[in-house]
Amino acid sequence: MVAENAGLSPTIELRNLHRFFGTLRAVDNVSFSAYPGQVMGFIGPNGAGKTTAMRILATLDLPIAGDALICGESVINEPDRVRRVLGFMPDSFGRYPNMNILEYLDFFARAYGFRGAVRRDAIERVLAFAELEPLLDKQIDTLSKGMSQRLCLGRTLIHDPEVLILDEPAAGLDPRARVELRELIRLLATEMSKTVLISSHILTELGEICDSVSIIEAGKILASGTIEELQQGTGSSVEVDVESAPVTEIEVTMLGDAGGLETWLVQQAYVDQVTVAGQRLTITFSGDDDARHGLLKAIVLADFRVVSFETKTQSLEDTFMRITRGELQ
Amino acid sequence: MSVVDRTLDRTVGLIERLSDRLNPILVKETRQSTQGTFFAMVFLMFIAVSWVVLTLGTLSQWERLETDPTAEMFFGWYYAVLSFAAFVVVPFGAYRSLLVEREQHTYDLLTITTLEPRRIVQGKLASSVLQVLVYYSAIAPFIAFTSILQGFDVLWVSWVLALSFLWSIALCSVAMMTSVSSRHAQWQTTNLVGLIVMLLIGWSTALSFVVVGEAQREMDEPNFWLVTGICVVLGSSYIALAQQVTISRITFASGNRSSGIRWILTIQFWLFVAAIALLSVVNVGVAMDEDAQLVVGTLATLHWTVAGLFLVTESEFLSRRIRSRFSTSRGRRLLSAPFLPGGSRGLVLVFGHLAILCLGMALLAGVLGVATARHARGVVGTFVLVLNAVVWLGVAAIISRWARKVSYRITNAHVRVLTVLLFVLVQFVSMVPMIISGRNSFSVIHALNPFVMVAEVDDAGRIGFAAGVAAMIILLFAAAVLLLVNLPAMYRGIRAVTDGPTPQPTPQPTPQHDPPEGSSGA
Repeated sequence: MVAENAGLSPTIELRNLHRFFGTLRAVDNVSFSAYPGQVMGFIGPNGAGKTTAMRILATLDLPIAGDALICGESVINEPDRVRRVLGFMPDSFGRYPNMNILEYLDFFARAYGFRGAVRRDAIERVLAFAELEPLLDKQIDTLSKGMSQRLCLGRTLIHDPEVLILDEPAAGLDPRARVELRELIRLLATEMSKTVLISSHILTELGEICDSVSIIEAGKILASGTIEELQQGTGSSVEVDVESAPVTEIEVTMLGDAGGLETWLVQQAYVDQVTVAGQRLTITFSGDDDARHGLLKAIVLADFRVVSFETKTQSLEDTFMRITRGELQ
Repeated sequence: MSVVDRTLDRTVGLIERLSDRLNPILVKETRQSTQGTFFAMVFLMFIAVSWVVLTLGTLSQWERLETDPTAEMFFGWYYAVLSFAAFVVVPFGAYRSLLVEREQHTYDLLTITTLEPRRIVQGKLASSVLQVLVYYSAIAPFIAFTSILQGFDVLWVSWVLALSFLWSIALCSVAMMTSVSSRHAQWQTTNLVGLIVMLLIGWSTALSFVVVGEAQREMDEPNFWLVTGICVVLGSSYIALAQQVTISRITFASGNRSSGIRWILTIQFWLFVAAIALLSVVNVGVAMDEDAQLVVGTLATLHWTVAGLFLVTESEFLSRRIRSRFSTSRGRRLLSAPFLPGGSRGLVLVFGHLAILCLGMALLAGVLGVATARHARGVVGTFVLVLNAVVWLGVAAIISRWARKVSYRITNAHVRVLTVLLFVLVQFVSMVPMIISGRNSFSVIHALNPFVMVAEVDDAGRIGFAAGVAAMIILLFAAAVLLLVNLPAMYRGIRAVTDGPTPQPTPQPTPQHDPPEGSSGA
């Protein structure tokens, strides 16, 4: 990721951000950056500080120390300038009563200062992108959750911002709506080079659309980097201790009794743990690729009746569970 | 395309271009009102009640319609209907309008647009003004009917309707200010009850004023229009103040929430001085009259004391955003310092104006030769009030600085309440000897009791010379001590502005699309 972003200025940059509410350290020395065209996931358990950090980025809250820059502008010093290049989609959809989709978008276009043809073009662009044209006259308080989220995303895009901050956009959506929203977000980054910072609890989904991820817990960033880096444990980690050092899981299936192989395996180097379930063994392995190759060779030479030897890729969920500690404040 | 179609297209285009110039909030709220049921229902009820008044009034007064002056009675009834809508329904709607934005999570969406807080408040107020105008236009035919009846005074009716319009705007402004005054549910409930009571009192007061019609008989007085003009100007300044407070409450935390209020308070003070000067020119007796002097001194001191309680308890913190907007000229910074946020700078502003007030009063006493004790009640009374203001605002500032060191949990509101409680306690303690002895006698213990002191000054014959002088010395001493104690903080507050780093100009970002035009007013 660093190589990819060489020469580019970050569009989102958090510098030692702090936000405390009394004794609660909602955001505690948080720093990370995101670049144009990047979709960055912001993961953490409930109460980890995701929404607070996002609200600071969206110029809705003020840090007590540190700063956050959007396209080089400080959210503290120049919130007005930040608002021109930033789109924020909060976790709750603000509905105005007695208003249809067209009027809703028209209002926000006016609020961003668009007039006449420019305003009409902006609305048309958003309606086309979010595929809301057939529902122009529909009252917004009668929209389904999926359609509401589309409209909310459309509203976020009305002034064509360079940076999008989406707080739990997929929460409460059915699978189809989630897939559609995911496609839209992917499109924003790849086709329109927008920087997207997205928080979600649905980690599998984030894994599919994010280029990089920051994991936050109890107000602190525990790890950040590309998903591959985090899975391999090579991402920039702040507080990943020895217990959460990079490990690989290997699944071995064999013919016949697995007990002999289990006894043999626990004596081998880099094998931390072996669990047996019928004819299948799961090895927790802390060696590198060469060591893994050596282990496979040794198993074959020892004449164990192995039919498969598979290295399991860690899912984002596994990585999240490995890195976080379930701390509550 | 037919001529009709072309005309229609042109009209639609014209309306759209016109709507581009309007405040977006006004456009949105108008659309919502026209599509919602609430406004339609209230409006239909308004029309229905007006028709009932017309029908019942005409039937009951049928015999007298052409011979007796019934216009006043009909107008009174229509005014009751109109004023209820303008003084209760619309202001309450203005209150709900801002509150609902928070309840329905739309306020954040509004905040992150390029709409400035000023335009949000102006839009909400414009929406209320539009509603009042709709009610005015709806009642117009009925008042037109009244105009053909006997005893219709067009000047009086115009005066009432014009001032009522202003009164309605004032109530809407106060209602909006109330809606943003607190985010806590329990305070919002209290505010709601308080607001409803205030609106009903505002309505009934205005109604009784019009029904009694005292002012109607004074319209021929020489100073009537001058006093009306002064009231309108000063009233408008309070509308501006209420709006500015609302704007400040919704301004982003790093923004400047105080300077606008300070400027309006200052302008109000000078408008007040100008109004008194104007009245004095027209009627010299105003300046000569000791009662008038005391009233002027009391109002001016009260203005700065109440405002000061809020200003001097502000946090001293100047955000980077505020500091980045400092002038590069040291002289300009010095002049602007009292208008920047911060309790110590608030003290400079308030004490400075109280000093100007005392100086003005002293000059007045000198010029008019009323320096003897018997003829200086107004001047001495004002001095007593000003010295008390210095004492209590000084106390508030000290408590505020101390509270910030003790705990972050102590808020500005806590400091204000604490100061007021302390003031009340001192007043009570000073009254204890009087209560115990049952005698209404003045003593030095009343030095920090402005009520007793001013009453004694006002009733100069009763004040014991020795006790009076001793009390004044104690008051002077207390004011001097509190001024001296606060002086270092005031000096540091000004130095923080004059000696701060010179701000560097920030480069303008490259626009990515047509530049938004949402920064100016509607």
